[in-house]
Amino acid sequence: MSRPCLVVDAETFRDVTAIAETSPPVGIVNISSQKLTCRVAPVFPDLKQALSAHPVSTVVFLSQYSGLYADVRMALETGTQVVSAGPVPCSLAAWENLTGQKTSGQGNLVLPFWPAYMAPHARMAREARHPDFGQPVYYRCLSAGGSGLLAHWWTQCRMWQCAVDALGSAVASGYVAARRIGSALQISLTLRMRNKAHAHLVTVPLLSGGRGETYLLGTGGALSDSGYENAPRIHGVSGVRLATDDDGSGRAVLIADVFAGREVRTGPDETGWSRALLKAIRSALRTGNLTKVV
Amino acid sequence: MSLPVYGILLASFSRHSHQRNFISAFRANPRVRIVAVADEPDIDAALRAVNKKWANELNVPYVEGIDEALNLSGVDIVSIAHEIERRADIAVRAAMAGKHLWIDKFMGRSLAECDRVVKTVAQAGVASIVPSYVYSEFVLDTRRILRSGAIGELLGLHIDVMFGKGMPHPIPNAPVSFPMTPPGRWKYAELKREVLTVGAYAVGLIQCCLGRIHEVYGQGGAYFFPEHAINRVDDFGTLTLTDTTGRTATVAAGRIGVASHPAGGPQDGFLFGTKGTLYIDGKRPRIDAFLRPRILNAGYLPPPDDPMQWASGAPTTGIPLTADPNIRALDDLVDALDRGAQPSYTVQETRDHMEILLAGYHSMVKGCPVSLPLHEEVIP
Repeated sequence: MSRPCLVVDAETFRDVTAIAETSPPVGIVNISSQKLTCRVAPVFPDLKQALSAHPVSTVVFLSQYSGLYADVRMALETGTQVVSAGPVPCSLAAWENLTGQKTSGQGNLVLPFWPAYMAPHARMAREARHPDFGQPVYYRCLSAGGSGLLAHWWTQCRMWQCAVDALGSAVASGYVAARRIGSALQISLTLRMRNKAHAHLVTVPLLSGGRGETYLLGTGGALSDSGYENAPRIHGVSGVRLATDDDGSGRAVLIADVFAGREVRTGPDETGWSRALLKAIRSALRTGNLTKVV
Repeated sequence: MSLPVYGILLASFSRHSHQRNFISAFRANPRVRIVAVADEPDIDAALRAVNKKWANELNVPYVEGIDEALNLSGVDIVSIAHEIERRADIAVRAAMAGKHLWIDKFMGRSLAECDRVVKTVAQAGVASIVPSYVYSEFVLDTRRILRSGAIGELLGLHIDVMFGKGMPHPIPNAPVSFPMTPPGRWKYAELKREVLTVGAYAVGLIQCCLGRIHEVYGQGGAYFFPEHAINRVDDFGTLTLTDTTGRTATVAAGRIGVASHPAGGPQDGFLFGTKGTLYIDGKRPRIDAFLRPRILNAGYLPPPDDPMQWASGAPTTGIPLTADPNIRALDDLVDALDRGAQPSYTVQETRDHMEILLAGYHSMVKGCPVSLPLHEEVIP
């Protein structure tokens, strides 16, 4: 039986609560400063305490934080399987240590291939493979980036995977620009694919509608998906708000797979670009210039 | 005391221009009157015939020779809508003759030509307006909301402007490698360079939102139309721009074919601020009309005499509720003339606008970002 432990912040905790009612995790690790309460599973302040309290089969890191690398390593060393919702920010050597299982334990680190978990994306990509769509030309996705640079980076990585999947081609080159004012961050990534299609992937501080705004253009026409337009909306005294539990990020599906003991769906092992992207984002923030990623 | 009425000379009804779209605004405004239609003597017979047709319709003389027409009494403003290759020369001659300028979209084919117009206009002390970019409700609403502070401080923006026009066809031997044809040659028999033609609207909006543009990264080379592919000129492209403070604008622009959008092509603006994101659909306000006979009988095939639909559009399910931006632009010009001032979007802004687009093209050719100010030009 699967005995997962989930590492969350306040935002990803929302994805956990519904499924935890029916399949309680062994524990929940709260990495945010906000107090989180769960009726069905104990909440721990750090991973070490969670791992000591109960036997854990899998640790699922749903949010990134500064201690992510150390915690992933610790979990692997105890022989626990690790699923990380995004890449681990670390050097190439450190990454090879983690993925090459050169740690003393027997654990294995898996990164999900997000396009396989996102139903709206999968539907759009399937439609784009229909002959009516013609040749893919352009993919644009705008999405809320989350809190902080690493959250934006994870979102950009997820969108990168989706762009590659939707346009049916590997990335040939990419440039990133980033701007921060206070805690508000915006990142614009421009990709050119080997098949000459282009993509704009933009993370922003605030955008209603979970999965964001996606537009996919082919020579045969266009497909678009608006997280906002597709969400039920409540018009109340304080304005309009969205009434939806699923943000379309695919996290809930991933968690369900882990709880059910199903194998995590993975894609091509392309972690080199994710580290290059993080480095380029940091450089773009420092210089204010368009910065080459690949 | 009665207010002056300004006389307008219409310089050419070139196929590649919007002179025909200006007429209703000119006719509706009591402060202006159309004096004549004019063009150069060396134009082709088809254009001459169109010019004469319009002169007849407007009940004004057709004058062969723009210099002669500039000497007509009562000409205060010249509406320049010739081919892009001739606009700078006409603008310079008109300004030197003391006429105010109303210029359609682009005032020259190169930065050098634009600079010449800017310099001459300044020396002549005439007013100038390029009405195409900043007078739409799309831009006005964006500016108003931005100024209100509702989304906080602006971090960046994304704009999609595409024309759902023309009928794309499969391209059997698509050119999959560079080089793209360099900028400078804009005129082809049955095609336009679409990052210039369509992307120009997005760049106009960006100028209103960001500071001075510092860097441009352009991408082209994905083709809808065989005509563009054969000539290796863009029918679709993307731009990424940064201003001197590091704010970014991304743009997708082009001619993407009929029936690709319910209102004739997306015109969407997303502005990202510290306190929120602003979304504006430039095709709204509109009434959505689902009238069965119109939908069942809709003819999407472009007319044979206008294959890229420069003067026509595909059927849409939207009935626009937006006002003609040329009416606002003309009000701005008339007001400026009354006050002895300049309108809000002059030849100076248009020169900077052209520099951004040219940088985008140079970037497409080079495959890397290009910094501004632009130091190079390729004019065949």
